[in-house]
Amino acid sequence: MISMIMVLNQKGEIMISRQYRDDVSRVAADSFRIQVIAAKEASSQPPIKRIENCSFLYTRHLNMYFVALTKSNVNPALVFEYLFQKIRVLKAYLGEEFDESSMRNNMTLIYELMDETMDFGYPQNCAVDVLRLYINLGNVKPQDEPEPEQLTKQITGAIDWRREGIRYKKNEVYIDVLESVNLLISSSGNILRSEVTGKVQMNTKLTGMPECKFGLNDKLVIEKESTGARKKPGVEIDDCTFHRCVRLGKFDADRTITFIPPDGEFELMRYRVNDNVNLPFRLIPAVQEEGQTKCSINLKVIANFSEKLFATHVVIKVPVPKNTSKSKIKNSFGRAKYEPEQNAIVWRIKRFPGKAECMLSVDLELVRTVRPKAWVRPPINVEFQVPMFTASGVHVRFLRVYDKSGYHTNRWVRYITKAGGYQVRI
Amino acid sequence: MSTQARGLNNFISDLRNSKSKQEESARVEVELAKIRKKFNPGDAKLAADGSNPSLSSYQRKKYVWKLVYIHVLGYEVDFGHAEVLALVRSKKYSEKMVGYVALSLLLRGSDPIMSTIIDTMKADLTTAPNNPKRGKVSVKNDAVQCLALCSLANISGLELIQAMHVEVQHILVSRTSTEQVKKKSALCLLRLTRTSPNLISGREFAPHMGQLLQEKHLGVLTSVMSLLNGLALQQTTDYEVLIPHVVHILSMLVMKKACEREYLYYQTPSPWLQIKLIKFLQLYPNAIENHDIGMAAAGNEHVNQLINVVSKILMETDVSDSINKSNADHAILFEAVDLIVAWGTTCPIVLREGAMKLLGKFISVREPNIRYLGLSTMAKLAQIEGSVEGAKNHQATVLVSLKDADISVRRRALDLLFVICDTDNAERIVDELVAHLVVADASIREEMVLKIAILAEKYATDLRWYVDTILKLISISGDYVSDPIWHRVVQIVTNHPQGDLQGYAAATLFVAVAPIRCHETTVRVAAYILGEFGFLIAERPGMSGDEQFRVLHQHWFTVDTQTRAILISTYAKLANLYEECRPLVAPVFAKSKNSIDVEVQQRCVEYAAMREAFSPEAVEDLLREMPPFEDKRRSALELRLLQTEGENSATVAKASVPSEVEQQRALLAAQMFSSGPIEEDMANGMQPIEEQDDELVSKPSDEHVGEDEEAEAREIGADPSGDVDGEGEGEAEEHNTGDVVQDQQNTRVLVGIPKELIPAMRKAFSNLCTSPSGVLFENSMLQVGVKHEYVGAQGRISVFFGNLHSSPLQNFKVRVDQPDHLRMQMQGTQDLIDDGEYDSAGCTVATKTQAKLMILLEVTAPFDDAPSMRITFDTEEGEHHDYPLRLPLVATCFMEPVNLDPGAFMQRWKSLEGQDRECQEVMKLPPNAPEIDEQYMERVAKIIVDGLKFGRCQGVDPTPWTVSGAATFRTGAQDMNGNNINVGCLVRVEANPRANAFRVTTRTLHPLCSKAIKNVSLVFALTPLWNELLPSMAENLTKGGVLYCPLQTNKRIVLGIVLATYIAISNIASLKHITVEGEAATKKTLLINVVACKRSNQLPEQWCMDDNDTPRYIGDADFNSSSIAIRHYTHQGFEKCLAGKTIVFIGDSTVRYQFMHLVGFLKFQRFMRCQDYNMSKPPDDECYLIGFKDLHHDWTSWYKQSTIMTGSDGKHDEQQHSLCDCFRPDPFVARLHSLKTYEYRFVKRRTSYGEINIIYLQNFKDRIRMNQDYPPFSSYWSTRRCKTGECGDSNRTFAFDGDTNSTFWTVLPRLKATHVFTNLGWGNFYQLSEFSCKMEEFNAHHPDINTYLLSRLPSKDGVFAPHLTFDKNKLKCKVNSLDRAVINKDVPTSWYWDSNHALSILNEEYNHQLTKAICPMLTT
Repeated sequence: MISMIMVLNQKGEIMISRQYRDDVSRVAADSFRIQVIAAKEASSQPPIKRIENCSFLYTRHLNMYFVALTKSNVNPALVFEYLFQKIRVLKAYLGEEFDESSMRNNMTLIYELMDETMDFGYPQNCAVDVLRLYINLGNVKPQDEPEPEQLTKQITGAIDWRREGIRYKKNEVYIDVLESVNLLISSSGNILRSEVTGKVQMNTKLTGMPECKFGLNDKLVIEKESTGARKKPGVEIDDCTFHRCVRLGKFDADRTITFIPPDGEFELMRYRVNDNVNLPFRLIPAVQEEGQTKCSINLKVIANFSEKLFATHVVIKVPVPKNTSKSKIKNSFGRAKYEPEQNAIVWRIKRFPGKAECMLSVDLELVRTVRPKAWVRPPINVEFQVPMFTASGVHVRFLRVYDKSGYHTNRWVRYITKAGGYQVRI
Repeated sequence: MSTQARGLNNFISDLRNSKSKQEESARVEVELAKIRKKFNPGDAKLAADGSNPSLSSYQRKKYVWKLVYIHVLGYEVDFGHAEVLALVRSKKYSEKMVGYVALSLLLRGSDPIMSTIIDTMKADLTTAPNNPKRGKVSVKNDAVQCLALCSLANISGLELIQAMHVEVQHILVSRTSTEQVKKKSALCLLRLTRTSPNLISGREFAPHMGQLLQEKHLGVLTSVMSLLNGLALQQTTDYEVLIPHVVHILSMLVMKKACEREYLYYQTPSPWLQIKLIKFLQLYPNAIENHDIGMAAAGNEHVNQLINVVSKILMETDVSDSINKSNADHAILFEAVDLIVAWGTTCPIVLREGAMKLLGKFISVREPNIRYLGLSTMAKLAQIEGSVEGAKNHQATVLVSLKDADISVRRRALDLLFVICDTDNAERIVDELVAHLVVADASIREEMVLKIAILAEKYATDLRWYVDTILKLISISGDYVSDPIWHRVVQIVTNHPQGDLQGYAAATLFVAVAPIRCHETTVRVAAYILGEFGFLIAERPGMSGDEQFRVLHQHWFTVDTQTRAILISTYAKLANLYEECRPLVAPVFAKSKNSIDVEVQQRCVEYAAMREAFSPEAVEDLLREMPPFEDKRRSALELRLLQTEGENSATVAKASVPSEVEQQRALLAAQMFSSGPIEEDMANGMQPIEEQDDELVSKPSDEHVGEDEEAEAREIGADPSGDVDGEGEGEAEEHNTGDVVQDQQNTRVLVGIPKELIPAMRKAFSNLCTSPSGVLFENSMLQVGVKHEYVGAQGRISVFFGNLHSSPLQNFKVRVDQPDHLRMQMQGTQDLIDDGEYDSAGCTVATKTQAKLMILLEVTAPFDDAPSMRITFDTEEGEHHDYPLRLPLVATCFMEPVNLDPGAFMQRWKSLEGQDRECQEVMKLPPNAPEIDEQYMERVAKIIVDGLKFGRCQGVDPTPWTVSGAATFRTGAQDMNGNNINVGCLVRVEANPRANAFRVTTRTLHPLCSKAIKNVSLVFALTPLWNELLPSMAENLTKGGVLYCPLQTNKRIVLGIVLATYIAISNIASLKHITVEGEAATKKTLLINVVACKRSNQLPEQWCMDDNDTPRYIGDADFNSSSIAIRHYTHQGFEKCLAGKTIVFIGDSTVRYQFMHLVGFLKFQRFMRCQDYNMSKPPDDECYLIGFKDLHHDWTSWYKQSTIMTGSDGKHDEQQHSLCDCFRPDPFVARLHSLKTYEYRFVKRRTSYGEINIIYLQNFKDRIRMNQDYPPFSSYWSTRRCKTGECGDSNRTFAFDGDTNSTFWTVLPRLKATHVFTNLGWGNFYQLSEFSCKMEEFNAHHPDINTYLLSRLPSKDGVFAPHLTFDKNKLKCKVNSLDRAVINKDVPTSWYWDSNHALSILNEEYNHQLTKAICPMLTT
C-alpha cells in the first residue's frame, strides 16, 4: 500500500510529507524532482513514474504536486481516488483555490487530515462532513460538538458518511443533472463518436437519517414497470458509478437507487450514455478552396432542441488557413471575427433559441506562400450550454425521502448540458 | 535602422515583455496577420511579381525586417517572398541590403522562386567593378557585389550554384576585383564546393590558384588558402602542383619574415596563414619522398626549402614570455609536428627524433596547455613505425602526467600510455594503471577501466591473467566496469575452451563471490560463468552444485533486478544439472513469481513451468550451455571507445589493430572450429549396414549409389562414408562388420555392432530423420540419443552418450566425420572429441552418466549421405568396442517451403522455361488405381506440402486438377557476391481424370533438382497405391528413376530428397487417417453424446448396457441391427438447453431427488453414482445429497448440508448459488405436522450460455406456503433471508399460502417460471387427472409457461404395472406430462432404495427425458 504521501511545490521542494511506512524516505523526493518536475513536459508524462523500484503516482492541484509513493504493487485506481479525495478534502477545508501559502499556514490541520484519512498506507474516512466533526482547526467553525463516544460510534459505524441528529427547519433537496456531450463528425457527415457523460449532483438539507429512493428514466427500470400502461421508453444507461452511500446490492437486484445521503453537497452518480444522443446542435459546413489564394467557408448551425429552451455562451470556432490575409464575414446573428492568435473565425452567440437556424459565410483571401502546403483543415469546435435540456434524455422521475418523522421535503431539479469535445471535421 | 522603424522597435519590445510563450506566439500571430493584410490588401492590384506596389519603401523594409525577426525567433514564415524579391531588385543600397539579408534567411536554395532572382543576382555580381571615373558609386558597387556573394554563399541552392559559380570564379580570378571582393568570392566558392563537390575541375583550376597564390596581399592569401584546403581535400592529386607555391610562401614567412605590419601577430608573421599552409602540406604525405636522391635536381628545390623551414620551426621555437606569442608559435609548431606525423617514415629521422625530443621537453613543462598538446601529439607521433621506442623513453614522465591536476591532461596521458603499450610492456603498464586506478579521479575511472580492459585483452599472453585483471578491476572500481566489459569476459571465456580457461574462470569466480560483500558486477559475471561452466568445477571439494547455489544465493537480497534475472537463469541451469539443487531453487522461483519486475517474473514463471510444459529432452536442450559467440571484427569495447573519442583518435586506431597475441589466438580458434583433416583410415569407419538392399530406402546413409557400373555392382551399403566424391572405390573392400574381429596390433577383444541390432538401428535412424529427437543406438552398454534442429542452411545436433553398463566406460572417444559439404563446429565433454590430431586418451563415462557432444553445422553444397560418427571405448572387462554410426542428417533437413503469390510464381515459372531446367513426364495410372477425384488431388497437394516441404501456391491453380508449389534448398555456401547459394524449385502436377493420368512438370535453377523432384512427385501422386507398388517402386528408385541421372555432379541431393521424403510420407499417410477421425469425434461430443449400448438379458426390455456396464434407458434411441446408439445431451448440452430458463419443480420427495440430481449434475458435471448398485458402499460426499436421515441425525441438518453441497463451496467456481428455505420438526409426523414442514430450494447457476434458475417447491399434501423473505417475495440476493446452510424455523411470516392450483396462478408468474414440472405431493392418479384440467386452464392464460405433469413412481412392488400409477392417455384433460412410471417398468427392485424412492440410475434417466422434453433433440 501507500508508503508515503508528499506534497511538492513547483520547485520540487517538499511542502508536506507524511510517511506511513518506512520503506521509502524523503530523499525519494529528489529523484521525483529530477525525473518528473525538472523534465519540463510534466503534462505530457504519464501520471505514474517508476524510479528505482519505487512508484510515484501523482496529480496536480494548481502548481502543487500530490505524490503517493509506494514500493508494492498497488491498485493505481485506488491510489488516485485517494489523492483526488484528498484534494477535495483540502478544498473543503482551505477553500477551492487553496495554494502553497494557505497550505503552509495550516500545517497542523493538514497533518491531522493526513493522519485521519490514511492509516498504515490504507485509506480511511475521507468524507468531509464527517471529518469536520472532529477536525475543525483553522477557519472551519465547530458545529455542535458531539460526544467522543458518539463520535467513535459514528466513524466505525455502518453509515460513517452521515452523523446522527442533523436538523433542518425546511427540508430541501437540490438535484443537478449535468451532462457534457462529446461529438466528432467526419467531413462527410458521418458521426464518428457521440456520447454523453453525465453526473447527478445533490445538495441535501434533510433532518435525521432519511432513506432516499431515487429514480431516473432508466430503460431497464421502465421496462420492468411498464407491465400495464404504456410509458415512454427509457434511456439506456451504459455505465454508471455511484457514491458509496448507494446500496449496490439493491441496485444489482432491481436497479433502484436507494441511499442514506450525506449531509450537504455530494455527487450521487456518474453515468455514460452512448446511444440515442440528442445532439443539441447540427452543423453543416461547406468549404471551398479556390486555388492558392481564395477560400470560402459556409456554415449553417441548427439548434435541435425545443423552442422553449435556449442555449447560452455559444462559441463556434471555424478554423482558417494560416496564411489568411483578409476575411469577409457575413453572419445572421451574434458576433464573428477573425482572431489570428487562434487561427480561426470565432463566432460568439450569447443566446441561441431552440429550433433556430443561423448562417455564417466567410470569404478568405490568402497570401501566396513560398512553399505551397496543403491546409490541414482542423475541425470546427463548438462550445455551448443548454439549461434544462439533457442530451441523453435522462430525467429524474422521482426522489422519495422516507424518514420516521415523515416530514415534507422540497425537491428542486435542474438540468444543464454542456459541450465536451464537440467537433465537426471539414 | 532603429531610428527609422519605430513599429519594429515596438514590436520587438512587445515580444520581449511578453510573460509566457503563449503570449509571445499570440502576438506573433497577430503581427503576421497584419503583415499578410498589408502585403495582400485585396482591393489594390498587385504588381506582376506579386508585391504590393502601394507600399512605401519604408513600410516594405519595416515589414520584411519584422518577418526576419520572427523567423529568427523560430516561427515559420512562409510568405512575403515577393516583397523580399522586390527589395533585392531595388536600386537603392539600403533596400538591397534588407532584401539580401531576408533572402539568405527566409529562402532556401531549393525554393522554386529562386529562379526568378538569378538574373538580378548575376547582374549584381557582375556590376561594373571599380570604375575609377565614377568614384563614390564604385564603392557601392563593391558593396553590392559583396552582398550578393554573401547571400549566395548562405543560400547555395543547386540551381543557384549551377547558374553562378562561373561568375564567382570569374570574380575571384579577375584582375579588376578589389581585395575585399576577392576574399569574399574565395570564401563563397569554398561554400559552393562544399555543397556540391566536384563543381570545379581541379586540373583546370589549379593554374588559376597558382596565380592567386602569387598575390601579395596576405588577407587574400589567407582566404585563398582556406579555399585551397577545401578543394584539395576533394581532389588531392590535382593540386599537388601547387606545393612549390605554398612552400615558397611559407619560407617567405618563416625564413624571411616578409610580412606587412598589420599581419604581424606578436612578431609572428600571420600565424593563421602559416597554419593553413602547413595543413595543406599535410595532405601530401609523400611530398618529400626520395628527397635524398633528388637533392641536386632543381625541381626538388622546394623540398629542401620545406625541410629547412620545418627544422627551423622545430629548432627555433622557444617558450616565450608573452602568452599570446607563445600560443601562436606553438600552434605553428604543433602543426609542423603533425606534418612530420603525416610524412611518417619518409621523414628524415633527424626531424622525427628532434620532434620527439621537443615533445619530451614539452610534456615535462608546467604549462598545462603545452603539456596537453605535447601528450596528444606524442601519441600521434608514437604511431609512426619505429617511434614507439622513442616514446617509451618518456614512459616515466607520462606516468607522472597521469597524476596531473588537470583532468584533460590525465586523459591524454592515459591515451599515450595506451598507444605505447605492446606485448613487452603490457603487464607493467596494465599493472601500473590498475594500481593508479585506486587513487584515480572518479571522472577518469570509467575511461581507464575501459582501456585497461582492452589492453588486457589485446596483450594477454595468458588469458588467465586477463580474467584475473578484469576481476581486479571489478573489485577496485566495479561501478565503472560497464556491461560491455564483463560481457566481453564472458565471451572470451566461452569462446576459448582450450587450456581449461573455463574451469579456471569458474573456480576463480567461485572464490570471488564467496565473501558476502562483493561487487554486484562480480556477482553477475560469477552467476553467468558458474551457470555455464560450473559443472567443470563441481567435482572439486567445496564447489559442488549446491555450494555454487549457496554462494550465489547469499547475494540475492542485495542485488538489483537485472542481476536477479541473471541469477534466475543460473539457478535454472544449476537445478537442471544437479538434483540436489532443485529443492533449493524451487522456493526462489515460487517466491519471485509475483515479482513486480516483469523480467524476473517472466523468467521465474517460465523456468518453473518449463518442466511441466516440455519433455525432459527439450528442457535439457533449453538449458544447455550457450554456443560460442560470434566473433565480431570490432568488439563492443572498441565501439565504445570510438563513441567516446571519435574517429580520429590515436587510441582508436591503435585499438582496431589486432595484436600478435590476438592473431595467434584467432588462428588457434579457427583451427579448432574448422574441420580438421580427415585421416584416411577414419573415413573407412566400419559400416553397420552391410547386406541389406531391399530396405535400402529407409536408410539414407545408403543413398549413395555410384554413378558408374562399378559402383552399382557393389553392395550399396558397403560404401564407406568418406566416399564423398566418388573416389572411394579402392578403400571400401577391406571391411567386415558385425563380427568380432581380432585386431592385429592389439590383443584386446574388438567388439563391433552385432548383426541382430542392425534392423532396429535402421528403424531408429529413419525415425530420427523425421523426428527432432530420439535414440539412435542402444545396446546393453551404451545408449546414444540424438536431438537435432535446423534453420535454413544451419543445424544443431546434440548427441548424448549414456552409460548403461555396470562399470565405467574408459577411453571413450567419438570421432565425427567432417565431409566437405558440411561446415561443423563441435563441442563436448572434455576429451570426448577425437579430432585426430593427437592420440587423446578419451574421457571416462561413469556408470549411469552421460557424455555430451554438440555439433553446429552449416551445409555448403548439396549432398546425399549422412556423416558418419565413430564411437570407441574400452570396458573394464578388457573389451574394445568400436561402433560406426551415422548421424541422421539428410538433405531434406534443409528444404524450406516458399510461399509465392500467383504472379511471382508464374513469372519464375516462365523464366525457368528451357531445356535442361525443366523436366516433364506423363504417367498413366494403372487400371486398378482409384479414380482421380478432388479428394485425391487434395492428397497430392498434401504430399507436396508435407512430404516435399514445398509451399503451395494457391492462386496459380485454376482448377482442382492442378497443384503447384515452390521451395528452396538452402545451403550455406556463398557465391561470388557473398550471398548464400540456394536452389529454388518449382513443381506443378496436373491431372487428367478422364485419361486417369498425371503430368508432372518441374523447373528449378539446377537441372538436376528438376528431374529429382519430378520423379518424386510422380511417385507420390500414386500414394494410394503405395503399398502395392512399394517393392517395385523402391527398386525403381534405387536402380532406375532418379538414380540414373545423366549428370554427374551433385546427384546426391536427388537421392537425399527422394529417400527422406519417402520416410516422411509413409508416416504421414497413416497419421492423416487418425486426424480426420479425431476431428469428427470432437464435433459430435460437444453437446450431444452418443453412447453405444448393447442389449442384455438381465435388463428389462427397454434397457441396455453401455460400455461402462451402466444400465441405460433406451427411450428414443436409434435402433440398429447390431447395437443401439443412445443419444444424450452432455453436460454442456444440458447447460445450453437450460440456460435462460427458470425451471420449477413442485412435488413430493421423489421430485426432490430428481431435482437434487439435476443440480448436482450441473455442478459436478456428472450424475451421482455411489448408490447405483447397492447401498452398502460407504457414501462419499456427493451422496449426502441423496442420502437421507439415516446418514444424518435429523432432516434439518440434511437440508443444510445439501444446500451447501449444491451451492457454491469456494472450491469449485462460483457458478452455482443455492438457497434453502427449510424446516422440519423432529420427529416428523407427516399428517399432523406437514403444514409446518417446508422445504424450498432456489438454485441459480451462471453458465457461458446464460443463467439457469432451478427451483424446488415442496408439495406433500397439495399445500404450499411461501416465506416473505424468499423468492419471489424477496430478491434472491437479499440480505434478509437466511444464508446458505442455515435452516429456518416455524415462526415465520408467510406471504403466500395455498394449494397447487393457486400456487400456479400466484407464484409461478412471479418466479418468472418458464418450465414447471409438478405432481400433487402424495396425490393419487385420480387427483392428478382432475388437476390436469386446472393445468389446461392455466396454460390457456399463460402460454409462456410450459407445464408438465410429473407422474408418480410406481412403488417398489408395482414396477410390473406402472400403468396403474400413471397413464397419460387416461388424463381428464390433455396436458404435457413426463411419465416417469413407464421408465420404471419392470426395473429390478434393487434400483429402489426403499419402497417409494428410486436410485440415481433412474433419476439420471428421468433428467435425460426432462432435458429432451425441454429441448427436443434433432435426429440428424
